[in-house]
Amino acid sequence: MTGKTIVITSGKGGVGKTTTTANLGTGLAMRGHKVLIIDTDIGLRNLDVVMGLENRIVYDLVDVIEERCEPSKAMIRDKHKLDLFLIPAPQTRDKDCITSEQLADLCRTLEEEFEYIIIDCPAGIETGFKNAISAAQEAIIVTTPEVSAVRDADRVIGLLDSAGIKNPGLIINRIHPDLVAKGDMLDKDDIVDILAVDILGLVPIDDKVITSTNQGIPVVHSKNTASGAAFYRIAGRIAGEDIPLQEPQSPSFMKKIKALVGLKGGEYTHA
Amino acid sequence: MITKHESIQVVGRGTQITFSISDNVGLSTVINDLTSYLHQNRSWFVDGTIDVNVGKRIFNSSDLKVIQDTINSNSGLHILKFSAKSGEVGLLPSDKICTELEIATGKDNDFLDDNFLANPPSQENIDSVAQCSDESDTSVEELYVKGVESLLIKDPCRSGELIDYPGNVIVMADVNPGAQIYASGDIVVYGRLRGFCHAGFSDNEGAIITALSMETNLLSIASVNGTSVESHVKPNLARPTPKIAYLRRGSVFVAPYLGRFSTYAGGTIYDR
Repeated sequence: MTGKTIVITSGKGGVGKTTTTANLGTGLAMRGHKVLIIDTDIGLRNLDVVMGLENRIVYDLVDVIEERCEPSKAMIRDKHKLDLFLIPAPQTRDKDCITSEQLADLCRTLEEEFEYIIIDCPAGIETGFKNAISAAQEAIIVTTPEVSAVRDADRVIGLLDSAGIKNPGLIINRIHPDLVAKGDMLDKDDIVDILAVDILGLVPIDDKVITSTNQGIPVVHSKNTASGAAFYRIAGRIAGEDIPLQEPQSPSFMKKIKALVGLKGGEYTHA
Repeated sequence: MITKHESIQVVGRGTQITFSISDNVGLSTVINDLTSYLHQNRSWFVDGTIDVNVGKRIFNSSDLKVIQDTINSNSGLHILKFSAKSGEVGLLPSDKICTELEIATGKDNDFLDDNFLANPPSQENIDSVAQCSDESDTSVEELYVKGVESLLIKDPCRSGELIDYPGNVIVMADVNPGAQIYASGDIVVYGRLRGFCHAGFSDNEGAIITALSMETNLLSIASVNGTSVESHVKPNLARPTPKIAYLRRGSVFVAPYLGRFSTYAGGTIYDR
């Protein structure tokens, strides 16, 4: 098996890289692929929390790279028994403790075993970012419809291009359909116009993402939610399936009423 | 001072005197008129230096030599340089550029004017100029600074990118916020200009910036920084309204682009 390594990056912090990594990894595993997710945010690890695996960590990425353990020993299997594994980052080290070559060598070795290796990149464009992108053949940019996030994404696309990763996919996270409809938020076309890259998916803002993250269960498990369905479709597109792009829609009047009184179905959905 | 004599027009501004030669008459008429004019006004031209502007005409080296000999033999004038009509000269064939450079070498004078090299974009011409420059002790760097060579960029200029080029820069895409372009010549953007551009860096006051959609509030030309508080609305990219930024009276002006040969004298001033 020869898999491929995809880095999830954004430049700006807080746009949803870790959440996206967890959900896309889970989504690909739910679609039957063998997936490994690697947290390279050394010193500020979060992916284990989002995956609900923080209590199972014994070895981490630096232990593997410094050959204190075999890679298989550091891999933590998803608690839903999917073909999904996590190599967590250490919390007590810093980003200079590994090199680009070491991470790239590790990924080349693990590509023999996994179809997809997804790397959660730290925020910023310093050492951690350089290490993460050096190991990847493809990249996915996560941004939110904010000018600052789009500006950082633009910068990162330029850096990826310099590093030889051409035409990354773009995920626009936390789209608020109401604000877009009013013209108060950048829409998909505005962002694509600036970044000039192919769009991979649109994820609407959804309270369920917060609750599921706190519970350690990626929202993609709830395919009836707007965000979960969006991540599941994006995972399909990564796997090469032909799934048309769907733009988030404002909830109907009845769904708004349902949301107000706390009934089920009161969230954003897709057309 | 403006004096007209058939095919010769003499214009003086301060100590700078220019002989402008009409485009519409033959060389023999020009020589006869020039001889006649200099003979009649010999007392005015016992000494000094002049520029000779040949208009839109393309002379070859022997023609220029004849004009030079006529002026030298009928007056005490010394030709500082030959030039062509500003901004309107066509492409000179590369061999003609070489010839003129050779003349310049022979006379220890810089006959090479910016206008002769206004827009020679083909590699053939550039190679020829570079080759001649070796012979004439004019460094390639100097020629580039005059805006001889252009850099073509096909991808968007993204945030954080810095382009510093000794010549013209042409971007066939957008210049995004956070990108910076410095060029000693002109900057042409076939897209949305939302980053920072500095044309004519650092003292070329004739440089311009054009863009299909000028959406920046900060532009620099030569040593002048222009800022504006104008808010930019989302353009209709299906029907773009290209604009030009140029330097006039020490300020940067932005006006609708009306063509290469239009005279620009207005627009929005960037001085806030």
